[in-house]
Amino acid sequence: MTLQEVCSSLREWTRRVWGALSRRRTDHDLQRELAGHLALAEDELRRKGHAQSDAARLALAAAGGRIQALEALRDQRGLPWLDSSWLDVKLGLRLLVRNWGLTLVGGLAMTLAISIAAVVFAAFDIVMWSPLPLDEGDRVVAIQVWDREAGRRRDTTWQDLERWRASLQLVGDVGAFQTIRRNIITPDGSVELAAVAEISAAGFRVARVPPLVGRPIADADAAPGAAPVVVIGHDVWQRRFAGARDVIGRELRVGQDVHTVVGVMPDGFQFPFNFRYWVPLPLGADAMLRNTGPEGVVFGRLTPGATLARAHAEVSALGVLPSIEARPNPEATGARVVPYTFAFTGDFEPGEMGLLWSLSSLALVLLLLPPCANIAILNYARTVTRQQEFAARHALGGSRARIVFQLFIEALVLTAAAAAAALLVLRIVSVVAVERLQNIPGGPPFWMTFGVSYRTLLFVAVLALAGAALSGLVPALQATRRLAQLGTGALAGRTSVRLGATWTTLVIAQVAFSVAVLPLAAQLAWGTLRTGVVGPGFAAEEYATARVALEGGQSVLFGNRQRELARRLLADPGIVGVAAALRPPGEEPWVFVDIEGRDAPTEVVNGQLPGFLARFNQVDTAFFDLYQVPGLAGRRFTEGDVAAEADAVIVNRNFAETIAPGGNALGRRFRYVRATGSEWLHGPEADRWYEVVGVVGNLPVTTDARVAYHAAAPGQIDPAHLQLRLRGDPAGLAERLRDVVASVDPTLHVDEVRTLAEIYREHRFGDNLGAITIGAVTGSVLLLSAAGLYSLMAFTVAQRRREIAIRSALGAQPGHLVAAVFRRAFWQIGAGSAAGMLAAYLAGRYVPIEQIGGLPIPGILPGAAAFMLLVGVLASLGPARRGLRIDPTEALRSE
Amino acid sequence: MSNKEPSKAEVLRGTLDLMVLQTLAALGPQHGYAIGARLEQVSSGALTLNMGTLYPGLMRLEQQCLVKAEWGVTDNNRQARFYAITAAGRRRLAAEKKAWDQMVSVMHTLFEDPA
Repeated sequence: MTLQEVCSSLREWTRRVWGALSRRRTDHDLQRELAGHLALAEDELRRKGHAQSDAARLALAAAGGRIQALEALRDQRGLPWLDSSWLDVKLGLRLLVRNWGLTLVGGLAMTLAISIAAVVFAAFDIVMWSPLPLDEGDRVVAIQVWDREAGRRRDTTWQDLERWRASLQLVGDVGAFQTIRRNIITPDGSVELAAVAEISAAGFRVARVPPLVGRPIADADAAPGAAPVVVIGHDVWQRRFAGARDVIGRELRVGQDVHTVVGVMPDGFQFPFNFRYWVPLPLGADAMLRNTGPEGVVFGRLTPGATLARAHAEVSALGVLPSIEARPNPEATGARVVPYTFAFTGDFEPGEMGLLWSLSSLALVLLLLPPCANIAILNYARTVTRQQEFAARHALGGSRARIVFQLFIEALVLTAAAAAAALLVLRIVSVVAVERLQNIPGGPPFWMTFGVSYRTLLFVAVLALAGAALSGLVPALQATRRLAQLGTGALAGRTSVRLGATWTTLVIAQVAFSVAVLPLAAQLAWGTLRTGVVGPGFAAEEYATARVALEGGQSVLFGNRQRELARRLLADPGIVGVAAALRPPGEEPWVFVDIEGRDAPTEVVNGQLPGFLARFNQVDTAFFDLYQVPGLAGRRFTEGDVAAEADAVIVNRNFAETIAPGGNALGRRFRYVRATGSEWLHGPEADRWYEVVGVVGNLPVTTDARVAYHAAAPGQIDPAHLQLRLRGDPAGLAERLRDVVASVDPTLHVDEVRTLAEIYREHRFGDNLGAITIGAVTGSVLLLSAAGLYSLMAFTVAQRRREIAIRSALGAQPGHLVAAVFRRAFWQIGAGSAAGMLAAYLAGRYVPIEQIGGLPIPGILPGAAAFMLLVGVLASLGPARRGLRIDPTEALRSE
Repeated sequence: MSNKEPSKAEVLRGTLDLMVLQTLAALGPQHGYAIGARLEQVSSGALTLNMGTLYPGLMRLEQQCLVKAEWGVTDNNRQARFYAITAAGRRRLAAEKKAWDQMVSVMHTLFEDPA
């Protein structure tokens, strides 16, 4: 085919698609042309001497069939298969409206499943595929020290950084950044705690973004003895210097040092991670460089022509030098190159991420299975009632494939509508997520965009197609299997199609699933919502918390500063109490606990967790009084309990009941288990025995948790969370706190100032979202079960219409007849309920509901079965009434 | 190789476009009936096109932008759609004619010189 012909063909097909969509030449226009042709032929024949009537007949005979010509023209005008598919779509839409029950139930379930899958996929997509918005951002890479044995990143040494910088040929502009937190103080005295990037000059070369004003950080700025300089972001320039052009040379205090502003970066520039202040990375001798985003990353840019794989090979070959600070697995520790944004995800191998992504996508597609199986049941029941229609189409020449395709398109209309609704849900979730994430300190990385990507759109389309295939194609193939044998019987309305054993099993499984899921969902929802319903148990709006830390973590100094801070805060008339803790109530870290004498394993074995799950907190002696926690047994903390060798612990009631059910917990000993593969980050030591010296009441905000409290003196917790009890309005607290803190020590940082009510409101947002999802999934499962049962009953009545009629004509009581018909169906509900209860019971024994965040509700299991039975009865009411109304004469006549 | 004879439609489709383009190039804008009549005339009645073949063919040429059409009035005052060859149509015609001539020459040589 020549190029000319290819172009012509392309033009033709473009026009045909356009013709199919726009109907550019109407049927009327086509008919007019054909009529003109016949008229001209008649004229010609008349001119040749034929009579009027003969001329018309002969013209028509010579020109061929007018209808056939019109059909051929229509086919040429557009795309015939598109036209017929469009008809199927219209039919599908009509069916959606007519069978509104199925539309509602199936559509809701499908929307829910696709929404959940789409939200998870989009989140993955955003984290994994958001490109770095820099010139050739995909060529910016991170170099990491990688412990292959532990599968985790390790800190980098300066020597390695220098070696990479000097030796690598395929990665240029190698540099690093470290995140530090400093109080930024302008000459007018205003204080702001901010994350500051200590960054190599190479960072600005890697980013390829020139400053708006002044210059970027230069290599010479990091030399020992160089004057401290700072580059600021556009919004800092506007906010703190009113956009003054003479900002260069002005002073800004960053922590203890006064820095000179040398440059302003353009609006939106935040590289390497959401920064607005950049200072030179001081050349260190011994100190390690953190190598986990966003704390610190070693970066570079692939040189022209280099690929990631080749750069990785080069870096691997170069490896790492033996570290001064011994690494856990020196033999298995090397270096690797990964895409830059990858440095901000967890400890994964690049291949693992891809695998995880593929597996997750597959798992998300599997989410469709439960709703699809249910909709397939409903579709099948509906399809078998349309045997007459299919038999007629088959008799008129419609192939089985054509009929199956029509049923697929009908299912696709439903799943496509669900997919559209799911995209809307996704849009709403992303808008809410952006709003919530903006409140988080630091926010999401600047390269993450929360729009719906083409990958997500494609994934949702695949879900819609897969959903239609599963819920429409399977029942369609099943229902049309014996189309050829149906013959005239089906045309007359008689059908021998039955709901086979598969479908009956599916209904039983559906009921079982509902009965098993209901208690789980209710208990999970109660566990999630309880705090929101009963409240935190104290006036949370009267309490506030603020994180304080000392620059450089000099804890000896920090203790004195903390005492001084508490003294000055108590002088504030708006503050009536001050205490310190590792975390505020309800945000304590989780740990595994082993009771003495039980020897819990240190890893998850056969689903058994290492010990039991609890929370711990470090608190000072004022903590319990501040929150008015009642003592139930034993004693409170004393000054002696804060010593490093002290092993005294106070536990809450839940904890006490777990380690000494019904008995006395005082004197019992326990230890924290360091689970294999996990890191022990802070707080009390792992594998050391602690003794319970006191039991206190549960704070309602942690009623669902077991909590152990350790005593701490000022300075022992760093950073600490100050706990403040307030008098009056908390407005302006953050500013007052910052002033007091700055007056004690300008290097003392304070942030995350929030009332506990605010914290719990944030928690509740997540809780409510979780509960809504649980509720929606459960509701949809119930609706699907009810619809499945309804279809089963309706179908049974329709199938046994003749039998009911005959037996009724022979004098049987209609009530008895209907009961007999439904006996089997109720037996199925009973079997399903029993199976569901057994499954729920076994699941509850294997994984206690408390372990997955739920709260047990007494009698929930039989309650769920009874509820399911009620749903079954309600779903059967309509078909039962129809069964009772069968008129024997009418029914038998129609046969 | 398939031992099936090429169908009549295939032969016609390949040559119909060429015949229509040539007719329009020689006679100027014509309506469908006139094009059909002309082809019948030059083939001495051997080629009779029915509407179901002629008009889809014209529509295909129009979709390929090789001809363009507009409504007009015939000499005997009938409404008809008049087709005219476009520049692209002329180029295609020239190319097809050349290929056709080459093929005829090859066939001619083959038939004349069986040895």
